Amino acid sequence: MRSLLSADLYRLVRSKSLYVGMVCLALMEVWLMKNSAQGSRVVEGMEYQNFFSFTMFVPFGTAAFCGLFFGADLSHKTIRNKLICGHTKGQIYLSHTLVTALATVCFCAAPMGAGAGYGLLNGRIFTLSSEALLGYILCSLASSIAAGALAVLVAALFPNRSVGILVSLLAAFVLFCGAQILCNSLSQPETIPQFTQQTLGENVTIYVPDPNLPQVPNPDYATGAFRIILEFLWKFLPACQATQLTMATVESFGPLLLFSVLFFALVTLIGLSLFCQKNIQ
Amino acid sequence: MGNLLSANFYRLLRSRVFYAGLLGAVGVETYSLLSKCRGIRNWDSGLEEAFFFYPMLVVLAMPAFCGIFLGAEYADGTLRSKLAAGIPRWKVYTANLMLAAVVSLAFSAAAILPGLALGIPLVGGFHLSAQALAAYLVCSCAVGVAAASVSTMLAMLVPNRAVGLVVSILLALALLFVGQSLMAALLEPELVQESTQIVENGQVAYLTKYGAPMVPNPNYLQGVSRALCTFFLYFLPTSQCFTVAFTTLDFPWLLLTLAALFTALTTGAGLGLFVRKDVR
Repeated sequence: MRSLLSADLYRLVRSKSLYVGMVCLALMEVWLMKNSAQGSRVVEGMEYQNFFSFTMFVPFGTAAFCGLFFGADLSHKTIRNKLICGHTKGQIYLSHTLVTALATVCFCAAPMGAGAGYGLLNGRIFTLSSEALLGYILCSLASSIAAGALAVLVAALFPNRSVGILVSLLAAFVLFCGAQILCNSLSQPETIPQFTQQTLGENVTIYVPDPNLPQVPNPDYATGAFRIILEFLWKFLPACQATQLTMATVESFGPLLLFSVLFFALVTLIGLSLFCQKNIQ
Repeated sequence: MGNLLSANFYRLLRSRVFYAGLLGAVGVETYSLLSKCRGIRNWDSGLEEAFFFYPMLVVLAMPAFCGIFLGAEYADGTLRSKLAAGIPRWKVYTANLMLAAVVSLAFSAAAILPGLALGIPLVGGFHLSAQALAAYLVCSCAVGVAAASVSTMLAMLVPNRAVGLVVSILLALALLFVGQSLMAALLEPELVQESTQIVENGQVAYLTKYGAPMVPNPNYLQGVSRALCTFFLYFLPTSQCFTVAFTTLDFPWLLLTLAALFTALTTGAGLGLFVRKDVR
């Protein structure tokens, strides 16, 4: 295991994809923070100015990194040599997971450093308490590492490197879009005002809320078991956790960290069991 | 050229990525219609509110398709065989570009047909004039062809299939965010209602002075910056798709002209570089 980790780390520090990913994420963070200085966000803390938005983009970086870095093990047949040397598939998978976790920490550190540097140079500050800031940083790392576990699973299971990369990036994109849809569904109000139609001039019709009429149930408000499932996914999926971190609306850090660890453990176990049964040619 | 096209289409009809893309187009269009149909019926809007989202999918699907399908020419050594058989490089490039353009149109058609079949019974017809509807349909196809052109260029210039795939998909995603920002910046109104900012206990609120005269919006772009933003909005396929999707296409002819210019520029650059490239 130590020799596997040592070999993977040796490759990691020489990996161009790691450094390119870090630079891209740092630039993205600065661009997003630059665009956030509008409206109420000007007087709010840096946490509301897209500081934690990198958590939404790190999964794309880890998906590309894992596909390129670990996909090479399968396409270059390095994995066969590792198995011939007597390393077990479990050890190989765990080594990949650990190295991905380390790469993910680098992917998070680069935008955090760039964002904090850019913000402080522009006179922006965090309005969170130091405990809350530490909680946000830990949750960002945990959520990103959990997303990285999914990228390792996809990279390890697809023998074709390009198809693995495509599936991994698509999964990251689908989860990103799914998180926005979930956020929209869960933020719907339970009741909505009734609207009345008003005609302004010729061919112009507008709808205005009527305060004299009672509010009616919102048909888009999720109820019952469906809402419970949505709320569970909102807490469980890394992309949803990233959306909460971006909007700085995390209510308590403990459950979010717990769900990140649970997601990481579950995905790693599934990946490990599938990879151990995989026929490597 | 005929042989190259014939071989490409023979492979295309047996490509699982192509059929996955078609299914994806059907899925995205169906989801878009089903999620918006209630709102369209409630607000008495037209089908166009949910119909034109497929160019966004095409802009993302083309880099994936070209990376996998055309990238295989390098990975499997087919490109070397074609060149050894005496086929000029420009013909190889043009045949691949034509295939990619057809695939982009197929992805658009795969979204349009179920969109019409499902959308008309669900929410009724379009509220656009026939001329505007035709403009949107033509522009959506032009966006797809422009995306196909840049995807072909990247797939033909990056010899490592995996790297080419990552570069083209991530570039498309990044440019989609740029497109969204351009769209948001250009949609800012010129005049806004005057409001006062109130900060209490870290909470920010705005007190709008209704009835007061409108004041200039500081976020409204003017002059050169507005002209540049408008140019890039209509020039890049990743921002063109937003103007089509949100039916904010004010200048269809400008979009068609700039899409043609974008296609010509990327094809010219791609061809120029590919002809000089050292293909191993």
